[in-house]
Amino acid sequence: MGNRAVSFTAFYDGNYPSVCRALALAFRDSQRAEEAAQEAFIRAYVYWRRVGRMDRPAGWVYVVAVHQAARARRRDDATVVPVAGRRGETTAMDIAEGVVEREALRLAIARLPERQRLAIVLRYLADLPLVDVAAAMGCAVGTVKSTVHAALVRLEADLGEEIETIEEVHPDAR
Amino acid sequence: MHVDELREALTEMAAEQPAPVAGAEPVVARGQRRLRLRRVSVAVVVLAVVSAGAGFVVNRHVAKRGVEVSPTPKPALAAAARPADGNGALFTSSSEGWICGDPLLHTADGGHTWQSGSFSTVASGTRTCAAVPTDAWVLVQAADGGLTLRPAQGGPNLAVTQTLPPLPGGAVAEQLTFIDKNNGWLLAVGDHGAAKRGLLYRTTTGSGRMQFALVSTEAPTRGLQFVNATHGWGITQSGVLRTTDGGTTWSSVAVPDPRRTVADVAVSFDHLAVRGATIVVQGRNPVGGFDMSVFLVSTDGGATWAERNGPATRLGTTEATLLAVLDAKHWRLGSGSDMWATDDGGHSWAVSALPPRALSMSFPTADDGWAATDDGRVEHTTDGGQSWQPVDTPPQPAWSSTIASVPTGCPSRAITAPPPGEHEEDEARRAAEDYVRRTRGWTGETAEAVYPVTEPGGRFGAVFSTNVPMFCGARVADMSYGVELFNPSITQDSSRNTALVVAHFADGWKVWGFYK
Repeated sequence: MGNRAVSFTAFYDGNYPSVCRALALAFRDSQRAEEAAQEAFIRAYVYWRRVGRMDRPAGWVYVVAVHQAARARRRDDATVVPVAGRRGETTAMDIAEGVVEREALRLAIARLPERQRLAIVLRYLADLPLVDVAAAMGCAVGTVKSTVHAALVRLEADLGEEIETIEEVHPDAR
Repeated sequence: MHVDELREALTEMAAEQPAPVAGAEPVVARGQRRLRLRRVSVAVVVLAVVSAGAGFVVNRHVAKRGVEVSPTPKPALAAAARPADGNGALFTSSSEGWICGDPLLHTADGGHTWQSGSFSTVASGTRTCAAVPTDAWVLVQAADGGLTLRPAQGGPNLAVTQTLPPLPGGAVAEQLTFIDKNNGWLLAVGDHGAAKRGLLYRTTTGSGRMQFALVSTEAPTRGLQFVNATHGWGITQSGVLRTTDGGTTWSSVAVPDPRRTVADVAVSFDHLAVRGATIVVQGRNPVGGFDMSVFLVSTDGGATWAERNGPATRLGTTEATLLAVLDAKHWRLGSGSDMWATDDGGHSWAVSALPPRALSMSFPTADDGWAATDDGRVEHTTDGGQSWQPVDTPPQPAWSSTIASVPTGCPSRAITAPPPGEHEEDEARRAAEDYVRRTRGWTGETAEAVYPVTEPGGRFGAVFSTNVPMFCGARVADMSYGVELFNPSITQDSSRNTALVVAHFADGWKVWGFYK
C-alpha cells in the first residue's frame, strides 16, 4: 500500500465513524449521512496531499460531507429516518430526575430545526471551530454564532432552564 | 444546565446512530479510481465549473489600520508556487530558473539550454526546493523521515549531501526558502493534538555545512516567505501571520475592516506570495457549496491591507490553485487547466490556459511564465499564458511514459519506450509488462473477478465480482498508486465502473494487487 493509502487509512479509521454519526444525528438520515461521509472521504483521498497537511483535516471532511448531504437532500428529498434510540418511552415516575432531564434534552435536540441542530452538532459534538462550522453551513461566522444561540434559546425554552455556555475562543475563530 | 451536558447528550445520541460499516479499503479504491478519472476529465470538469460560476460579489474594504513591517523590504524570491513533491518551476529571472525534479534542471539562458544534476546522487523521497540567483537547494525527506540537503551552487551540480537531524514526532518537511546564499528557513509541520503546528528551523551558516536551528514551534504551517533576514510572512489554514525577528515569534495580521474577522474574509488560506513590498494572500470562501477565491493584499509592506475579489469562477470545495505574483498589479492564479490573470491588482481578471497537470508555475515577468507538470513536462509562455509551448529539457521522470505489450485481441497502440534508468518505477513497469506479456492480458471470460496478488506474478484471490475487460498494457501513472493496467478501446465511465483497473503496490513495487 502506498504512503498515501497508509496515512489516509489511519485518518479514515479514526474519523469516519464519528463523521457518519454526527451527520446522521444532524440530518436524521443515517443512509444519507453515510453516503455523504463516504463521498467526503473519497475526495479527501483524492486531495490527500493537500488535505493531509491541513491544520484540521477532519474539519475539511466535515465541510465537504455537510455540503454533500445538503446537496443530496435537495436532489432526491430523501426519506427521513427517525433518530434511533428510545424517545419518550421513559416516564418521570420510575427513573431518577437526572435521567429525565437528559431525556428531555435529547427530545429537545431532536425537535430542533435541522439547521440549528446541524450547528450545535458541528459545534459541540464534532467540536469544530466556528470557521469550519461556517464553511460547512455555507454562511458567515456571525451567522453560525446566531444560529447556535437560537438553538440554545430554543433548547432552554423547551427545558425551562438556562444552558450555561462559556464560549470557547478557538484561535481560528477569532 | 451546563453546555457539557448538551455535549454528553449529543454524544449519546450520535452513539445510537447506526454504526457505519464501510472500511477504508473501498473508499481508498474509489479514491484511486477518482484520481485517475480526474486526470482524464479535468478539462471537462473545469469547463463545466467555469460555466456555472457567476454573480459573486464580495465587499471590498480598504484598511485604515494595519501592521508594521520593515520600511524598505528587500526584493523577495520569485514567487513560485510551492514545488512540493518535485517538478516545481522556480525562476529567479527571465534567464535563470530551476526545475525541481529528477534530475534537478537549471537554465541560465531563458530555457534555450539546460543542465541537469545527477539523479542518482539525490535520495528518493519527497522533494522540496528553494532557489536564489545561481544557487538552489534540494531537500529530500525519505519515507523513514530522514532528511538530506543538497545545495547546488552556480549550476545544477549538487554538492555533497548533508544529512540533517530527523524532525521530531514524525513532522513533515513542508517548505524550504532562502533569501540569499546564507539565510534560509526550513518549515516542518507536525501534529499538535488534533491540530497542526509549524516548526521553523533557520540557518545562517551559508555555504559549506549548513546547520539549522529550531527557532519556533508556533510558526505558520505554509506559505512561508521572507523579505529579509528578519521580516517574513506565512499562513495557517485560517490566518495570516508575520514575524519581525527572523521567525522566532509570529503575530496575526489584522484584516482591513475592523468590524470583520479573518474568518469573514476567507475560511481558509492557500497561498501567500511576496514581491518587494507587495504581499498577496489567496484564500477561499464558500458560496453555494463552491469556493470562490478571495485575496488579502498589501502594497506597502504590510502597513495596510485591502480585500480583493478573485475571478468569478468557482473553485469547488477541493480545487487546487497556484499563485504567482509579479508586483502590486500583476498576479497569476492557476486553477485546474485555467490561468486567471489580473494586471490591475485584482480588480479585474481574464482567463487563459494553464498546461494540464501543472504542479507549479513561475512568472519572472508578466508575459514570461514557466509551468512544470506532475508528469515531467516543462512548458513556457511568452504571452502571459495565452499560449504555452513545451520546453525541450533533459528527460524528466517517466511518470507518464507509456509501455505496452499488445496481447491478442487488443488494439494496436503506440509504445513509448521508457527512459533508461535503474529506478524503482522502471522495475515496477517491467514487472507489469512481464505480467501482461505472460498472461496475454486478463479476461473476465474465465472468471468474474480480478484477483489480488501477494507477490509478483503470484496467485490471485477474488476482490470483486464484475466482468473485467482484457488488459492490453501497463503503464506507471503515479507511483503513489502503482501500475495501471488498461484497455484503450474501452471508454472510462465512472458511473458504470467499466474500464479502470489499477494494479497498486502494497509494498513498494514488489507486491502488487488490483483495484477496480
